[in-house]
Amino acid sequence: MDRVSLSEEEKDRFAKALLQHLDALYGFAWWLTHRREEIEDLVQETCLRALRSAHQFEPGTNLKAWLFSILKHEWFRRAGLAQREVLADSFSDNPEVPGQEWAVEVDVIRTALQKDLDEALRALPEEYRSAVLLFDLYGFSLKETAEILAIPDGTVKSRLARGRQMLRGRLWAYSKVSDNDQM
Amino acid sequence: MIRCETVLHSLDALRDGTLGKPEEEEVRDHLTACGACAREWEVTEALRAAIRNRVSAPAAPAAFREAMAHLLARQASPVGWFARLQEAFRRQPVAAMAFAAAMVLLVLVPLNVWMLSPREIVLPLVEESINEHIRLSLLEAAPEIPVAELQPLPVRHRRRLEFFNPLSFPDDREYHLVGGQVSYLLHRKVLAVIYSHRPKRPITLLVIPNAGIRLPEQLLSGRGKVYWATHQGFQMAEWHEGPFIYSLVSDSDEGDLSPLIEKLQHQ
Ligand SMILES: [Zn+2]
Repeated sequence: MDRVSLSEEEKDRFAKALLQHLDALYGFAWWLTHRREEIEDLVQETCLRALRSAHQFEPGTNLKAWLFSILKHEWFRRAGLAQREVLADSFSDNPEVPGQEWAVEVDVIRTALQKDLDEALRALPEEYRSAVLLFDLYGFSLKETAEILAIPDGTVKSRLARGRQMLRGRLWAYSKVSDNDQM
Repeated sequence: MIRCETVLHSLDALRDGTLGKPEEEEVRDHLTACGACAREWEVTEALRAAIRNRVSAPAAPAAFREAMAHLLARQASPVGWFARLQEAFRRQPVAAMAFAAAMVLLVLVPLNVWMLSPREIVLPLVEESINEHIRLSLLEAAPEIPVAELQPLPVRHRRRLEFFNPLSFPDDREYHLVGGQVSYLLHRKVLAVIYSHRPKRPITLLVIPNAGIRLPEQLLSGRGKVYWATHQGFQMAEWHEGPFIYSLVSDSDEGDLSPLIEKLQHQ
Protein backbone atom coordinates (compact mmCIF):
# COMPACT_ATOMS: atom_id res chain seq x y z
CA MET A 1 0.00 0.00 0.00
CA ASP A 2 1.21 3.45 -0.86
CA ARG A 3 1.59 5.55 2.24
CA VAL A 4 0.42 9.12 2.07
CA SER A 5 2.17 10.44 5.14
CA LEU A 6 4.31 9.42 8.09
CA SER A 7 3.46 9.53 11.73
CA GLU A 8 4.79 12.39 13.80
CA GLU A 9 7.36 10.11 15.36
CA GLU A 10 8.57 8.81 12.00
CA LYS A 11 8.83 12.35 10.70
CA ASP A 12 10.85 13.36 13.70
CA ARG A 13 13.24 10.48 13.14
CA PHE A 14 13.46 11.38 9.48
CA ALA A 15 14.26 15.00 10.34
CA LYS A 16 17.11 13.82 12.53
CA ALA A 17 18.44 11.63 9.73
CA LEU A 18 18.28 14.63 7.39
CA LEU A 19 20.44 16.68 9.72
CA GLN A 20 23.20 14.08 9.52
CA HIS A 21 23.65 14.98 5.86
CA LEU A 22 23.52 18.74 6.39
CA ASP A 23 27.27 19.26 5.97
CA ALA A 24 27.37 17.24 2.77
CA LEU A 25 24.38 19.13 1.35
CA TYR A 26 25.89 22.43 2.36
CA GLY A 27 29.18 21.47 0.74
CA PHE A 28 27.56 20.39 -2.51
CA ALA A 29 25.49 23.59 -2.60
CA TRP A 30 28.71 25.52 -2.04
CA TRP A 31 30.08 23.95 -5.17
CA LEU A 32 27.01 24.99 -7.13
CA THR A 33 26.99 28.59 -5.91
CA HIS A 34 29.43 30.56 -3.81
CA ARG A 35 26.81 32.91 -2.40
CA ARG A 36 26.22 32.04 1.20
CA GLU A 37 22.69 33.42 1.12
CA GLU A 38 21.83 31.19 -1.79
CA ILE A 39 23.55 28.14 -0.29
CA GLU A 40 21.48 28.41 2.88
CA ASP A 41 18.23 29.00 1.00
CA LEU A 42 18.97 26.05 -1.24
CA VAL A 43 19.80 23.65 1.60
CA GLN A 44 16.82 24.79 3.62
CA GLU A 45 14.45 24.29 0.71
CA THR A 46 15.96 20.87 0.07
CA CYS A 47 15.41 19.74 3.66
CA LEU A 48 11.85 21.06 3.79
CA ARG A 49 10.99 19.41 0.49
CA ALA A 50 12.52 16.16 1.66
CA LEU A 51 10.53 16.25 4.87
CA ARG A 52 7.31 17.00 3.02
CA SER A 53 7.83 14.07 0.70
CA ALA A 54 9.42 11.78 3.28
CA HIS A 55 6.79 9.14 2.55
CA GLN A 56 8.16 8.83 -0.99
CA PHE A 57 11.60 7.86 0.20
CA GLU A 58 12.21 4.13 -0.09
CA PRO A 59 13.72 2.85 3.16
CA GLY A 60 16.88 0.88 2.52
CA THR A 61 17.99 3.06 -0.38
CA ASN A 62 20.62 5.77 -0.10
CA LEU A 63 19.11 8.75 1.74
CA LYS A 64 22.08 10.96 0.93
CA ALA A 65 21.70 10.33 -2.79
CA TRP A 66 17.99 11.07 -2.56
CA LEU A 67 18.67 14.38 -0.79
CA PHE A 68 21.33 15.32 -3.33
CA SER A 69 18.89 14.73 -6.17
CA ILE A 70 16.36 17.02 -4.51
CA LEU A 71 19.01 19.68 -4.05
CA LYS A 72 20.18 19.38 -7.62
CA HIS A 73 16.63 19.54 -8.90
CA GLU A 74 15.92 22.62 -6.77
CA TRP A 75 19.09 24.27 -8.05
CA PHE A 76 18.08 23.67 -11.65
CA ARG A 77 14.63 25.02 -10.94
CA ARG A 78 16.01 28.21 -9.47
CA ALA A 79 18.69 28.79 -11.97
CA GLY A 80 16.05 28.32 -14.67
CA LEU A 81 18.30 25.77 -16.28
CA ALA A 82 16.91 22.98 -18.34
CA GLN A 83 18.70 19.68 -18.06
CA ARG A 84 20.73 20.18 -21.15
CA GLU A 85 23.48 18.75 -23.20
CA VAL A 86 26.62 20.82 -23.33
CA LEU A 87 27.97 21.91 -26.67
CA ALA A 88 31.27 20.33 -27.43
CA ASP A 89 33.01 23.57 -28.29
CA SER A 90 32.22 25.26 -25.00
CA PHE A 91 35.45 23.93 -23.52
CA SER A 92 37.77 24.22 -26.45
CA ASP A 93 40.14 26.51 -24.53
CA ASN A 94 41.43 23.64 -22.41
CA PRO A 95 44.93 22.49 -23.16
CA GLU A 96 45.57 18.81 -23.74
CA VAL A 97 48.37 17.03 -21.95
CA PRO A 98 50.99 15.67 -24.34
CA GLY A 99 50.85 11.86 -24.26
CA GLN A 100 54.56 11.22 -23.80
CA GLU A 101 54.73 13.17 -20.52
CA TRP A 102 52.63 10.68 -18.66
CA ALA A 103 54.94 10.15 -15.65
CA VAL A 104 55.34 13.89 -15.20
CA GLU A 105 51.60 14.30 -15.31
CA VAL A 106 50.99 11.75 -12.58
CA ASP A 107 53.50 13.65 -10.50
CA VAL A 108 51.80 16.98 -11.22
CA ILE A 109 48.48 15.54 -10.11
CA ARG A 110 49.90 13.94 -6.98
CA THR A 111 51.49 17.19 -5.88
CA ALA A 112 48.73 19.55 -7.00
CA LEU A 113 47.87 22.18 -4.42
CA GLN A 114 44.40 22.28 -2.93
CA LYS A 115 44.04 25.82 -4.25
CA ASP A 116 44.76 24.67 -7.80
CA LEU A 117 42.42 21.71 -7.53
CA ASP A 118 39.65 23.98 -6.24
CA GLU A 119 40.24 26.47 -8.99
CA ALA A 120 40.34 23.81 -11.68
CA LEU A 121 37.08 22.30 -10.43
CA ARG A 122 35.40 25.69 -10.26
CA ALA A 123 36.43 26.37 -13.81
CA LEU A 124 34.64 23.27 -15.13
CA PRO A 125 31.23 23.74 -16.74
CA GLU A 126 28.72 22.82 -14.10
CA GLU A 127 27.52 19.60 -15.73
CA TYR A 128 31.02 18.17 -15.66
CA ARG A 129 31.82 19.50 -12.23
CA SER A 130 28.70 17.94 -10.71
CA ALA A 131 29.45 14.54 -12.25
CA VAL A 132 33.06 14.57 -11.05
CA LEU A 133 32.16 15.78 -7.55
CA LEU A 134 29.37 13.25 -7.09
CA PHE A 135 31.32 10.24 -8.32
CA ASP A 136 34.92 11.08 -7.40
CA LEU A 137 34.49 13.21 -4.27
CA TYR A 138 31.22 12.13 -2.67
CA GLY A 139 31.60 8.52 -3.72
CA PHE A 140 28.17 7.99 -5.19
CA SER A 141 27.82 5.06 -7.58
CA LEU A 142 27.34 5.58 -11.31
CA LYS A 143 23.68 4.75 -10.97
CA GLU A 144 23.18 7.16 -8.06
CA THR A 145 25.08 9.90 -9.88
CA ALA A 146 22.86 9.37 -12.91
CA GLU A 147 19.76 9.60 -10.76
CA ILE A 148 20.91 12.75 -8.98
CA LEU A 149 21.71 14.46 -12.25
CA ALA A 150 18.66 12.99 -13.97
CA ILE A 151 20.71 11.83 -16.95
CA PRO A 152 21.40 8.36 -18.43
CA ASP A 153 24.31 6.25 -17.06
CA GLY A 154 26.16 6.57 -20.35
CA THR A 155 26.05 10.36 -20.16
CA VAL A 156 27.52 10.21 -16.64
CA LYS A 157 30.42 8.18 -17.99
CA SER A 158 31.14 10.59 -20.80
CA ARG A 159 30.84 13.63 -18.51
CA LEU A 160 33.25 12.02 -16.06
CA ALA A 161 35.74 11.31 -18.81
CA ARG A 162 35.47 14.76 -20.32
CA GLY A 163 35.44 16.53 -16.93
CA ARG A 164 38.56 14.76 -15.76
CA GLN A 165 40.25 15.49 -19.07
CA MET A 166 39.60 19.18 -18.53
CA LEU A 167 40.84 19.02 -14.93
CA ARG A 168 44.03 17.37 -16.09
CA GLY A 169 44.52 20.05 -18.70
CA ARG A 170 44.10 22.78 -16.10
CA LEU A 171 46.45 21.21 -13.58
CA TRP A 172 49.00 20.69 -16.31
CA ALA A 173 48.71 24.34 -17.35
CA TYR A 174 49.07 25.53 -13.71
CA SER A 175 52.21 23.46 -13.28
CA LYS A 176 53.74 25.07 -16.38
CA VAL A 177 52.94 28.53 -15.00
CA SER A 178 54.59 27.79 -11.66
CA ASP A 179 57.63 26.34 -13.48
CA ASN A 180 57.98 29.65 -15.28
CA ASP A 181 57.62 31.57 -12.00
CA GLN A 182 60.60 29.79 -10.60
CA MET A 183 62.84 30.72 -13.49
CA MET B 1 40.20 -9.48 -28.01
CA ILE B 2 38.57 -6.53 -26.22
CA ARG B 3 39.24 -3.10 -27.72
CA CYS B 4 40.98 -0.24 -25.85
CA GLU B 5 38.02 2.01 -26.47
CA THR B 6 35.67 -0.46 -24.79
CA VAL B 7 38.05 -0.84 -21.85
CA LEU B 8 38.40 2.90 -21.34
CA HIS B 9 34.63 3.18 -21.38
CA SER B 10 34.33 0.45 -18.70
CA LEU B 11 36.82 1.84 -16.17
CA ASP B 12 34.28 3.68 -14.04
CA ALA B 13 32.02 0.65 -13.97
CA LEU B 14 35.06 -1.33 -12.82
CA ARG B 15 35.62 1.18 -9.99
CA ASP B 16 31.94 0.98 -9.21
CA GLY B 17 31.96 -2.82 -9.07
CA THR B 18 29.07 -2.98 -11.52
CA LEU B 19 30.77 -4.84 -14.37
CA GLY B 20 29.66 -8.42 -14.91
CA LYS B 21 32.11 -11.11 -13.78
CA PRO B 22 33.47 -12.23 -17.17
CA GLU B 23 33.63 -8.64 -18.39
CA GLU B 24 35.51 -7.55 -15.28
CA GLU B 25 38.12 -10.25 -15.78
CA GLU B 26 38.53 -9.29 -19.40
CA VAL B 27 39.08 -5.63 -18.51
CA ARG B 28 41.58 -6.49 -15.76
CA ASP B 29 43.51 -8.76 -18.11
CA HIS B 30 43.63 -5.98 -20.67
CA LEU B 31 44.95 -3.50 -18.09
CA THR B 32 47.89 -5.75 -17.27
CA ALA B 33 48.69 -6.23 -20.94
CA CYS B 34 48.05 -2.80 -22.46
CA GLY B 35 50.34 0.06 -21.35
CA ALA B 36 48.18 2.83 -22.77
CA CYS B 37 45.06 1.76 -20.88
CA ALA B 38 47.05 1.07 -17.69
CA ARG B 39 48.47 4.59 -17.82
CA GLU B 40 45.00 6.04 -18.28
CA TRP B 41 43.82 4.06 -15.26
CA GLU B 42 46.69 5.28 -13.12
CA VAL B 43 46.36 8.96 -14.03
CA THR B 44 42.67 8.87 -13.29
CA GLU B 45 43.25 7.08 -10.00
CA ALA B 46 45.79 9.76 -9.03
CA LEU B 47 43.30 12.46 -9.94
CA ARG B 48 40.53 10.79 -7.95
CA ALA B 49 42.80 10.44 -4.93
CA ALA B 50 43.80 14.12 -5.16
CA ILE B 51 40.15 15.14 -5.29
CA ARG B 52 39.19 12.89 -2.39
CA ASN B 53 42.08 13.91 -0.17
CA ARG B 54 42.58 17.55 -0.95
CA VAL B 55 39.28 18.98 -2.10
CA SER B 56 36.74 19.99 0.48
CA ALA B 57 33.81 22.31 0.88
CA PRO B 58 32.88 24.21 4.03
CA ALA B 59 30.61 22.49 6.56
CA ALA B 60 27.30 24.06 7.52
CA PRO B 61 27.93 26.95 9.95
CA ALA B 62 26.81 26.23 13.52
CA ALA B 63 24.13 28.93 13.52
CA PHE B 64 22.63 27.59 10.30
CA ARG B 65 22.69 24.02 11.60
CA GLU B 66 20.90 25.12 14.74
CA ALA B 67 18.29 27.05 12.79
CA MET B 68 17.67 24.05 10.53
CA ALA B 69 17.33 21.71 13.50
CA HIS B 70 14.66 23.97 14.98
CA LEU B 71 12.88 24.40 11.68
CA LEU B 72 12.82 20.68 10.91
CA ALA B 73 11.70 19.77 14.41
CA ARG B 74 8.85 22.26 14.10
CA GLN B 75 7.89 20.94 10.67
CA ALA B 76 8.08 17.33 11.82
CA SER B 77 5.61 17.81 14.67
CA PRO B 78 3.48 20.76 13.67
CA VAL B 79 0.86 19.86 16.26
CA GLY B 80 3.11 20.77 19.15
CA TRP B 81 2.61 20.99 22.85
CA PHE B 82 -0.20 23.50 22.72
CA ALA B 83 -2.58 21.19 20.87
CA ARG B 84 -1.69 18.37 23.20
CA LEU B 85 -2.41 20.60 26.15
CA GLN B 86 -5.82 21.45 24.68
CA GLU B 87 -6.51 17.77 24.30
CA ALA B 88 -5.52 17.20 27.92
CA PHE B 89 -7.74 20.07 28.98
CA ARG B 90 -10.75 18.36 27.54
CA ARG B 91 -10.01 15.20 29.49
CA GLN B 92 -8.52 16.42 32.76
CA PRO B 93 -9.25 20.14 33.23
CA VAL B 94 -7.80 20.59 36.73
CA ALA B 95 -4.57 18.66 36.21
CA ALA B 96 -4.03 20.39 32.90
CA MET B 97 -4.47 23.82 34.46
CA ALA B 98 -1.93 23.04 37.15
CA PHE B 99 0.42 21.75 34.51
CA ALA B 100 -0.05 24.86 32.41
CA ALA B 101 0.67 27.10 35.41
CA ALA B 102 3.83 25.14 36.16
CA MET B 103 4.89 25.44 32.52
CA VAL B 104 4.46 29.21 32.62
CA LEU B 105 6.81 29.38 35.59
CA LEU B 106 9.26 26.88 34.15
CA VAL B 107 9.44 28.31 30.67
CA LEU B 108 8.69 32.01 30.85
CA VAL B 109 10.74 32.93 33.91
CA PRO B 110 14.07 31.55 32.74
CA LEU B 111 13.34 32.86 29.24
CA ASN B 112 12.88 36.34 30.65
CA VAL B 113 16.11 36.16 32.63
CA TRP B 114 17.91 34.94 29.55
CA MET B 115 16.58 37.79 27.46
CA LEU B 116 17.60 40.34 30.05
CA SER B 117 21.09 39.00 30.40
CA PRO B 118 23.21 40.81 27.82
CA ARG B 119 26.10 38.37 27.84
CA GLU B 120 24.06 35.56 26.34
CA ILE B 121 23.00 37.71 23.44
CA VAL B 122 26.27 39.43 22.70
CA LEU B 123 28.46 36.37 22.54
CA PRO B 124 26.88 34.78 19.46
CA LEU B 125 27.37 38.09 17.64
CA VAL B 126 31.04 38.22 18.61
CA GLU B 127 31.49 34.63 17.55
CA GLU B 128 29.66 34.98 14.25
CA SER B 129 31.38 38.26 13.41
CA ILE B 130 34.72 36.57 13.76
CA ASN B 131 33.63 33.66 11.59
CA GLU B 132 32.46 36.06 8.90
CA HIS B 133 35.71 37.98 9.14
CA ILE B 134 37.73 34.80 8.68
CA ARG B 135 35.55 33.68 5.81
CA LEU B 136 35.80 37.01 3.98
CA SER B 137 39.52 37.30 4.58
CA LEU B 138 40.03 33.89 3.04
CA LEU B 139 38.20 34.79 -0.14
CA GLU B 140 40.75 35.75 -2.69
CA ALA B 141 38.24 36.99 -5.21
CA ALA B 142 37.01 40.54 -4.95
CA PRO B 143 33.84 40.80 -2.91
CA GLU B 144 30.58 41.00 -4.69
CA ILE B 145 29.62 44.65 -4.38
CA PRO B 146 32.24 46.84 -6.02
CA VAL B 147 33.19 49.91 -4.04
CA ALA B 148 31.77 52.22 -6.69
CA GLU B 149 28.32 50.83 -6.05
CA LEU B 150 28.49 51.01 -2.31
CA GLN B 151 27.75 54.70 -2.27
CA PRO B 152 24.93 54.76 -2.76
CA LEU B 153 24.07 51.10 -2.28
CA PRO B 154 22.42 49.34 -5.20
CA VAL B 155 18.67 49.53 -4.94
CA ARG B 156 18.14 45.87 -4.15
CA HIS B 157 20.44 46.18 -1.14
CA ARG B 158 19.12 49.55 -0.10
CA ARG B 159 15.75 47.99 0.41
CA ARG B 160 17.28 45.70 3.00
CA LEU B 161 19.58 48.10 4.76
CA GLU B 162 19.26 51.87 5.00
CA PHE B 163 22.43 53.70 5.94
CA PHE B 164 22.90 57.06 7.50
CA ASN B 165 26.65 57.27 7.21
CA PRO B 166 29.01 56.67 4.36
CA LEU B 167 31.16 53.61 4.79
CA SER B 168 34.00 54.43 2.45
CA PHE B 169 36.57 57.19 2.72
CA PRO B 170 38.14 57.49 -0.72
CA ASP B 171 40.82 59.95 0.42
CA ASP B 172 42.01 57.76 3.25
CA ARG B 173 44.84 55.37 2.37
CA GLU B 174 44.85 53.87 5.87
CA TYR B 175 41.31 52.52 5.72
CA HIS B 176 40.69 51.68 2.14
CA LEU B 177 37.37 50.01 1.42
CA VAL B 178 37.85 46.98 -0.80
CA GLY B 179 34.24 45.93 -1.31
CA GLY B 180 31.44 44.12 0.40
CA GLN B 181 28.49 41.82 0.18
CA VAL B 182 25.13 41.17 1.71
CA SER B 183 25.01 37.94 3.64
CA TYR B 184 23.37 36.36 6.66
CA LEU B 185 24.44 36.50 10.28
CA LEU B 186 22.39 35.18 13.21
CA HIS B 187 19.53 34.72 10.73
CA ARG B 188 19.52 38.40 9.83
CA LYS B 189 20.60 40.08 6.65
CA VAL B 190 23.94 41.70 7.19
CA LEU B 191 26.13 43.98 5.14
CA ALA B 192 29.75 42.92 5.34
CA VAL B 193 32.48 45.20 4.00
CA ILE B 194 36.24 44.84 4.11
CA TYR B 195 38.84 47.52 4.58
CA SER B 196 42.40 46.83 3.65
CA HIS B 197 44.48 48.30 6.40
CA ARG B 198 48.07 47.31 6.82
CA PRO B 199 49.31 44.39 4.70
CA LYS B 200 47.65 41.16 5.86
CA ARG B 201 45.57 43.10 8.36
CA PRO B 202 42.12 43.34 6.84
CA ILE B 203 39.33 44.85 8.88
CA THR B 204 35.78 43.63 8.47
CA LEU B 205 32.80 45.81 9.21
CA LEU B 206 29.45 44.11 9.70
CA VAL B 207 26.28 46.15 9.77
CA ILE B 208 23.41 44.17 11.18
CA PRO B 209 19.84 45.14 12.15
CA ASN B 210 19.87 45.39 15.93
CA ALA B 211 16.38 43.98 16.50
CA GLY B 212 16.70 41.76 19.55
CA ILE B 213 20.39 42.45 20.14
CA ARG B 214 21.41 44.83 22.88
CA LEU B 215 25.00 45.54 23.79
CA PRO B 216 25.64 45.41 27.54
CA GLU B 217 25.14 49.02 28.66
CA GLN B 218 27.51 48.78 31.62
CA LEU B 219 30.39 47.59 29.39
CA LEU B 220 30.17 50.33 26.76
CA SER B 221 33.16 52.60 26.98
CA GLY B 222 34.23 56.02 25.75
CA ARG B 223 32.28 58.78 24.09
CA GLY B 224 31.34 56.51 21.23
CA LYS B 225 29.86 53.94 23.64
CA VAL B 226 31.81 51.08 22.14
CA TYR B 227 31.79 47.51 23.38
CA TRP B 228 35.33 46.17 23.13
CA ALA B 229 36.12 42.49 23.16
CA THR B 230 39.03 40.23 22.39
CA HIS B 231 38.03 36.76 21.34
CA GLN B 232 40.08 33.95 19.75
CA GLY B 233 42.87 36.47 19.25
CA PHE B 234 40.71 38.87 17.24
CA GLN B 235 40.00 42.41 18.27
CA MET B 236 36.35 43.39 18.15
CA ALA B 237 34.48 46.63 18.57
CA GLU B 238 30.72 46.93 18.51
CA TRP B 239 28.33 49.82 18.90
CA HIS B 240 24.78 50.92 18.19
CA GLU B 241 24.20 53.15 15.20
CA GLY B 242 20.55 54.02 14.64
CA PRO B 243 18.63 50.79 14.02
CA PHE B 244 21.88 48.89 13.43
CA ILE B 245 24.74 47.39 15.27
CA TYR B 246 28.14 48.02 13.76
CA SER B 247 30.62 45.28 14.43
CA LEU B 248 34.29 45.64 13.55
CA VAL B 249 36.71 42.72 13.55
CA SER B 250 40.42 42.91 12.95
CA ASP B 251 43.47 40.74 13.18
CA SER B 252 45.27 43.68 14.71
CA ASP B 253 44.97 45.65 17.92
CA GLU B 254 42.69 48.27 19.38
CA GLY B 255 44.83 51.16 18.12
CA ASP B 256 44.03 50.16 14.54
CA LEU B 257 40.30 50.20 15.08
CA SER B 258 39.83 53.44 17.02
CA PRO B 259 40.42 55.88 14.12
CA LEU B 260 38.03 53.89 11.91
CA ILE B 261 35.36 53.89 14.60
CA GLU B 262 35.69 57.65 14.86
CA LYS B 263 35.23 58.03 11.12
CA LEU B 264 32.24 55.72 11.02
CA GLN B 265 30.60 57.46 13.95
CA HIS B 266 31.28 61.07 13.07
CA GLN B 267 30.68 61.32 9.38
ZN1 LIG C 1 44.30 -0.77 -24.15
